Amino acid sequence: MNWLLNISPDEVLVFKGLTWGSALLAIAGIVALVALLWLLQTGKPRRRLKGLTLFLRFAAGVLIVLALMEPTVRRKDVLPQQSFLAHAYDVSGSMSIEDQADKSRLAAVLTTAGPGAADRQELDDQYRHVDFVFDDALHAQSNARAVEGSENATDLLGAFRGVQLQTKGFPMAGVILLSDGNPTLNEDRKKILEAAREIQAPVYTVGCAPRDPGADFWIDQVSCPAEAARNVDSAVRVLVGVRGRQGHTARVELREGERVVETRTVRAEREMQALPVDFVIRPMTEGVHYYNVRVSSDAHESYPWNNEEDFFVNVVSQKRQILYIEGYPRYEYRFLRAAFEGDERFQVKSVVYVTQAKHTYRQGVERRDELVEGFPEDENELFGYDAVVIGDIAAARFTTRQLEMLHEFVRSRGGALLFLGGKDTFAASGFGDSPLAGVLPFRFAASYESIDRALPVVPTRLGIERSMFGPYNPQLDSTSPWAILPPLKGLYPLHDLKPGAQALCAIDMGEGDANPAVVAYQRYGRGTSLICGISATWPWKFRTPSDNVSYEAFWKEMILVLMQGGNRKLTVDAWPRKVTVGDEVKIRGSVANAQFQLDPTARVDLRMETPTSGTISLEPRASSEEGYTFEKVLTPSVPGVYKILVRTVETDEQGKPCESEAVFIVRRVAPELREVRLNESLLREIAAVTGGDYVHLSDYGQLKDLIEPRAGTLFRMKERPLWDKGLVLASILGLLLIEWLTRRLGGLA
Amino acid sequence: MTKTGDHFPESSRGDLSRRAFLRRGVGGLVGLGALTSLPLLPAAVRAARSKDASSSFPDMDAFDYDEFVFSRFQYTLGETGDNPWDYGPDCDEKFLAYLRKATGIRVSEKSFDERVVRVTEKEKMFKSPFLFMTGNANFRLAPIEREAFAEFFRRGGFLYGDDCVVGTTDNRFFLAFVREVSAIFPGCEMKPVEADNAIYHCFYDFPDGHSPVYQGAGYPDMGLFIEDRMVSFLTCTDQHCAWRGSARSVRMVGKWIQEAAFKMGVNIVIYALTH
Repeated sequence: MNWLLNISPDEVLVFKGLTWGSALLAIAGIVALVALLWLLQTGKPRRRLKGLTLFLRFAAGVLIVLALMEPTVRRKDVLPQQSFLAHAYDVSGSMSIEDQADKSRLAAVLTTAGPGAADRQELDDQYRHVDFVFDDALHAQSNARAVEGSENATDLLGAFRGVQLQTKGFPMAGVILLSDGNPTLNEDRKKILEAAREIQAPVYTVGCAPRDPGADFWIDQVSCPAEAARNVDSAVRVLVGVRGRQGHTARVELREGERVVETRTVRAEREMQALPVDFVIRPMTEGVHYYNVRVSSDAHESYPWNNEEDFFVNVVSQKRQILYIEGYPRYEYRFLRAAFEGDERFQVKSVVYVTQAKHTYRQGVERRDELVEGFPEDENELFGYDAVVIGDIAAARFTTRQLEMLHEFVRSRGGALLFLGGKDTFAASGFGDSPLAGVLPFRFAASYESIDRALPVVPTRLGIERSMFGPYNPQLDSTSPWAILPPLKGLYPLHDLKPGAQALCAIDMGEGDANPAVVAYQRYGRGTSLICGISATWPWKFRTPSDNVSYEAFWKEMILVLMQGGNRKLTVDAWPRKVTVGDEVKIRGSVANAQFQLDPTARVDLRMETPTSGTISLEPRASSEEGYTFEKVLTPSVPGVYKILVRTVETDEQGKPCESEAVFIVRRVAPELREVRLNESLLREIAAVTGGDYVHLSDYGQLKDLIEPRAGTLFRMKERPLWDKGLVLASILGLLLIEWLTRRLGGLA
Repeated sequence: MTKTGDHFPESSRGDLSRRAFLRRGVGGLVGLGALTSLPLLPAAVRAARSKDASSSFPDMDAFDYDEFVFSRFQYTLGETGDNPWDYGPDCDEKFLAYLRKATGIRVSEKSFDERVVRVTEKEKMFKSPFLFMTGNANFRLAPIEREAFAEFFRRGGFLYGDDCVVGTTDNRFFLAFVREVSAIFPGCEMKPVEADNAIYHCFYDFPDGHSPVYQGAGYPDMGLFIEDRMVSFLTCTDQHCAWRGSARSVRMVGKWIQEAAFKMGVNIVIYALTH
């Protein structure tokens, strides 16, 4: 049949006219009519001739019915011009690095994949094209030939969101992302991947930096305490990145101003590695101390601008006051207390409930009646602390009033609340219905079960960035600082984090970014809260060599991270704390009254010490951000350290103005130029999660074979009617003519 | 409550107690029996070795990390003693029952055998931060044990030792403990614990600053301190036997001794869990 009608395998025969039922009825009618005519036919026909005429009539009738059924051959046809293909060109600062045979990365991109390039033309012939450029913002490029570089940061997250908005509803065959893959804004990889997925089209990523960049020493990371005590040693760890310098040595110099604090020499043992260099600083005066660390070698440097880094340490004389309340004596209490003992930056007062009858054991108290009830008597006493740690303790241990005080401690006072997990807090605690429910970064279920086996706890990407277990660069180090830490039991996965909560650690269940969070924090009001769904971290101390200080570093850093920000009556901070010349810095602060309630009417004297112009006065404006009362936006043009000094115009109850300070650093070299490597892993991951592919720029030409027309949106049904043909009409007329002639010649009527 | 062992001068003078007499008598009979069965000795040695080899030292990770584990340390005897390292598991159980009742501490329900810790490999020390040693014999720590204890203390572990006085005349365990533990950190020796130390006041109050005396030679309680932290506590007052609450102890000292020893034990555990 197919052969007869010339129907190929990719074609189908359909009937668009009469339905099969109607057709059968019509044929039945024809049969009946033919039979009637048989009976009515007059004359003396020969029987054979009579039969022939009736057959001819029947055949003509069937043919007419078939024609009325409108047989049509359908075929799917590819329509390439209806599919869209987007090119998104990264034009950020890092694309101006000239490491592509004396050409910048962007110039190499335009030569290979720019408008008019041969391989690009082949794609343009096949698909309708739309072009974008992006750095810290996405722009549709109407004139693709005018692609120019910028000095701005890279915002991959924003780029994907922009592409998604602008291509929504189009039949997209794909998006080609041409980038070196180094986001310097919105670096949350999980969010970037989610945004890429939301485009709902394959993203084909093209790596636009050398696969094998030139030899280089660079300062990769600096890890130091945010706060240090006066006249006390503090450790600073610097990770020096090395590439292509095996066997070479480099000098690493730590300076405070013009004074060289210490110089170390490191030797690269491998082609690619991170060399840890440890320094000790001992600041002797209170206030902000500014340091610079730089690496230098005698060999040629391909990227000399990433060889130094600035950092600062806030030296405090007042100890941070920590209150720790624990539900029963346990090792976690003992080891956690020990982690803070002897550290001049902290003073820990603790209460542990020894019996169910509220018998408590207090440590670190200064007065006989202090904390005798197991909790501060009133808000004044509670608000004297900077942080409160709640151990494995049931909500029933607290009165509603005490829980409300804790809520206000975070919201108004700007305190830090650490909530440690355990059977009592998670299993049947009742915290979900308490005033603390809103403070905590996750939603309490009625009860939780811990995971019934020991599993490793690992930092999330944010946790790695915050050096939760010390500095680490996964691209350079094969062994992470947490690899030595034993797996833990009693883990409570935090499945239901609130929007705005940030996960610092996760339970390593082998699911990568999908591993459940186990440590998370969020800002709440003026303060911060953190939940740690690990009932016991002490094996990290007791089951690792005694010279391993990851346990202490983990908890101290956690406390300091939480206590940054608004935890005093007058606060000020600068964000970001590290910027590049020309970037904006927002100075924000808050003034609270004696009851720690924000006072937007309070006047402040805001000044700034600049690197070159001395101290200048700033005019703040009222802030609309929650938790802040004043703000000021600056765009510094000179690199160096800027110190913000703020004091209240009105005096406090002791007749003195409140004072506070913050620091930010303006760097000469943008982060864009510090991160010179091709971030192939991110680009591959983006391609994988969206169903696209990754190629290096040199293989851009392969894309035309990899990109597939988008299914369901770019096919058109082509139809070939079989009935609307002259042959059909001629056949019908021919049959009827033969029938008529037969009758005439045969003498039939 | 007195700090000395004056209640039992016979022990410190070296007279045999009735219990020791009976034990030695039975020991002698057993020894005679053993001599008569010398031909069977090789098989017995093999059996003992086999038992030793098969005695698995349990995976302490079977414990919940929030539980307190009263681990017994298996040490090597330097000479024959009346009470080996594993003396009186029933005393441990009685004390732990009291500890559960008197405090909110989550005490592990694991059996005595599961709580044993021995240093055949250094890392096996680091399962539980609390270790208990008792006995009445002289002993020496092997170099590997000494090294392991040094690391154990540095990591935050706590060791409690109690001299099981019965049957000895010269407090061999107490003296050996002081000697061996003092040798762990050169220049850092065990010293008498001050009366105002938290170990005597953290839960129950012992105003005299001494463990309650069931029997002993009159030595003060000793402690090993790393900086200000007491990492090891030693009593020569036989707290462990007092936990049993035997008719003898009631007869000789009074019923209060078991309760007092329990309370001292609670203080020791709370101290270890808070310092």
